[in-house]
Amino acid sequence: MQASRAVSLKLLFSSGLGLLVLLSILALMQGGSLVAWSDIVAAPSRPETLAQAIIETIRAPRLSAAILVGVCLAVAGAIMQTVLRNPLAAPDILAVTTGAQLALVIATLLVPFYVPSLAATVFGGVLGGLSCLTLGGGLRAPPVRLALAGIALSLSFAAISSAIVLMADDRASGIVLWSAGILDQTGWTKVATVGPAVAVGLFVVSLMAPSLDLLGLGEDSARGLGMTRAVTLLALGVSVVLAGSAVTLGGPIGFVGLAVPNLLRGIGITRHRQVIPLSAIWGAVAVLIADVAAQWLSAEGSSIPTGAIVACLGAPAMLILLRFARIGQEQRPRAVSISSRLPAGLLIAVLLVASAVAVASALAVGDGIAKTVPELVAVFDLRAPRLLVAMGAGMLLAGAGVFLQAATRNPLCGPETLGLAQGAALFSLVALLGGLPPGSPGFQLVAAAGSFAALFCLFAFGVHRTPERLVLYGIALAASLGACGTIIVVEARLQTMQALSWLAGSTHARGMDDAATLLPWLLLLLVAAMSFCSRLDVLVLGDDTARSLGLSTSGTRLAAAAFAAAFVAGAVSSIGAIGFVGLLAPHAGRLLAGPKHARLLPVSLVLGAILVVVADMVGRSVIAPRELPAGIVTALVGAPVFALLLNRRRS
Amino acid sequence: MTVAAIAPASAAVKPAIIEAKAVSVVFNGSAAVDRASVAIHPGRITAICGANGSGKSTLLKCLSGLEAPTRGAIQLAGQSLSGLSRRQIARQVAVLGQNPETPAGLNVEELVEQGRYPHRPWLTRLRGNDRDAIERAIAAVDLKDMRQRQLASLSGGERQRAWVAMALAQEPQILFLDEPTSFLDVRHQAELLTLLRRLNREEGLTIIAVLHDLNQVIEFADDVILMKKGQVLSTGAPADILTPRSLSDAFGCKVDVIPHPHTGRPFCLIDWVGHDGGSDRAGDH
Repeated sequence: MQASRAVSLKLLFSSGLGLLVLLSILALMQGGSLVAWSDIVAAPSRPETLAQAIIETIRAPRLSAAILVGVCLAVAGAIMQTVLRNPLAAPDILAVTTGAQLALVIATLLVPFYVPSLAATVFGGVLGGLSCLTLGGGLRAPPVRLALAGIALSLSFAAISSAIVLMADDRASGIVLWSAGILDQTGWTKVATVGPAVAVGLFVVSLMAPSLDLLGLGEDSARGLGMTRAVTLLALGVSVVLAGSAVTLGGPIGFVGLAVPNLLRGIGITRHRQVIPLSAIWGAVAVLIADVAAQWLSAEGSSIPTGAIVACLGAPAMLILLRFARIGQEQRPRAVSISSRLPAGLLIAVLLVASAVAVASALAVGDGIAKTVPELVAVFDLRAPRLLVAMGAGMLLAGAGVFLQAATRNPLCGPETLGLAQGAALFSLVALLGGLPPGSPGFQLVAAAGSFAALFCLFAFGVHRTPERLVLYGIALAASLGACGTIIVVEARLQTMQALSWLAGSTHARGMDDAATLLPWLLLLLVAAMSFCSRLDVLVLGDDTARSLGLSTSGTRLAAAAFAAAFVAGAVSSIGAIGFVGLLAPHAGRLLAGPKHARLLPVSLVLGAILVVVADMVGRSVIAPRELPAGIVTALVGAPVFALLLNRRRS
Repeated sequence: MTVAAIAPASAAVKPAIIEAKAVSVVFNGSAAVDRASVAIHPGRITAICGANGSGKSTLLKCLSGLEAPTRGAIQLAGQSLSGLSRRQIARQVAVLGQNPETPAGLNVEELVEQGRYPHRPWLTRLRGNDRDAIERAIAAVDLKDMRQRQLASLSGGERQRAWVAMALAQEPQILFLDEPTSFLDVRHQAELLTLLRRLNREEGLTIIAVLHDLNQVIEFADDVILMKKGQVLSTGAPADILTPRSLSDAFGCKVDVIPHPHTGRPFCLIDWVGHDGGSDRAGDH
């Protein structure tokens, strides 16, 4: 046993280093035939050739950036996992990466004076990490809650970044590149500024390796052995600096910090003297593989973000992780969110007033405010169809949320946290590429195939033993599908604004025809709601109770999930992947109407409609005549509320 | 009356309402329940006892139809359980699980209403007889004053009673309970057992419960099923089954059984801290 462990360690080190060298050579030779093997061999003697110039100014910087990013992310992930005793901790999961990215976007696009980018990313990373810890429940938070708080914050930060980029950058394509992680370097400047910080960070980490071993025993035992909080904070600080360095070099690249250390631990490597260097090597290998793949795929002049390739691999990595890694301290949420209720009369009054306000403002506000009746009439034909589409899609998404949350008995499920919306959006993009006109029956069917494919991926692999695992896998799946969408947009050079509406969700330029195509889906929603209310009430009591009451739980759950997938397809094929409506509307409904589905469902539907209408109205008006996709607006509002809901569950 | 294993004598008097023959449940290659044969008699309280991991809960799930046995057959009132639909079973059998989940915001009455699910035709609202059953169930567990209270705001004992009420609203002939007293303090344990006993004696409800406390079993149950490593060690009246020898066999620790000072029934004294300390202090007395 000991012997084989030693052999596998040696093998891991040597094969990792070997792969790294091999991939480096591949990376240098990638992209056109300008650089040959002989040029790489000759490079150290610095001959004055074109190939040498390319190597020195483009490829070598990019290669170094890729390696540094991989090292930083994997080591940062390894440290965070140990210090928080949370296998799900990683820079991207804990909102450090997106916080850093947001700070970088602000520093670059909004702040009028020069801010060193490393300073911005480290500052943003610290802020992101701190807000995640605050919302998730501190250093001792249960792993999954912390992860979910971080993911919610990440989505919110990413939405703010997107909004800023959209407002500052006329080309909507900017958003795709800014938000996905690109390793293109122009010379050595970034690598040269970040390099020393990384070196110092790695040096400190190597000194801390024995202390990290102690921390792995748990806070109490570590303290009993003489460890102080200062060590914990120092370790976290170093990991944030490393993550910030990675963002400075390549933007928000995810999953490396989560997957690499966990896979190493999964095969039995636990001592930090080995975990840290191995993470560094294999992290670099992972990013290089993605980067080589990205360059290879984008050989014809387009540039696929490396981060998108990494995200594509996210779902499989998470799947492996959830299957094999030991994730402790899991809690079943004992209750679906929070719940209260208003008296029926008051409830109806509140909903009527809210709807009236939403409808009136949606018609009146847009590119300019219509104050008089003639003005209203003038814009009515433009705004009324968008209003109807937004209402219909909002209802469908909210209905999907209610069905999904009941089917999984999980307050964290929604079309967007399970990847159903992203699946439908990805297939919609494919349909768009294939020339199917949006809104046609064929287009809708393809979208439905997308949401059902995501549903299949979700339940086919049996990771849903606990609600949180299901959501984590769902979020990874959503990221993967979203990244595939990004790659398609970049690769096919789709008209980005049009494509963006499927990636982020928008009612831009929808007409009465689009509103009419929603009708069959709404009819399906009505039928499902009428026939499923009492079954959903029984289902939320838990599997054993529901079965002892005579409900066939697996069949009901499957049917409910299938209905949800259909609703999602209907909504997404008409306005794209608008996030957080399906997740949030049921919670808001529960706050107003209590947990019984006969009341909850209609109230949630109305709230979902209001939410999309308002988000669309805000998106149309804040930077008019240009538009912020409604999906970005809902994520802006939705992600923090989601994090708050998560927080409320603690009490 | 002594009820022997499988109890052919008493079965002749009153046929078994549930009968399991050589039932095995295999999880991942290991048998959680191994060729268990038991008969449950109507109108009686049966306790299932055994060490952790002895297959008590799995047997309970099998008998109540929640878990299909890998091998063997179970009959409910003469009909094969596997041939009955979930609704058909749910009209005769109610199950109160171990620490069931409660959706937030549900109040007592709404929970109890769910008990009518197996009796309601598709797409219909609650009808008069449903309302009556709900009223009776809430009254039986004495929660009339708390019917509008949210479950989350109830004490552990009250919440457990609300769940019992939901099971009663099902109007079952048989009630299964998996460790119903585990999360309650002694007073609430006593209240719950008293309630269950009353339902058994007055309404003739057949009760099968997994119980940990041996002295509770002796006071509460008419029959005992003693299990070890998935197998049924013995079945019969508590006084006959819970002997020092069978208990040390089932639990692997020393148990003395003495007559109860008031009732004269057996009383189990468990040797909590090992033989040395125990015998020393016994010498001091």
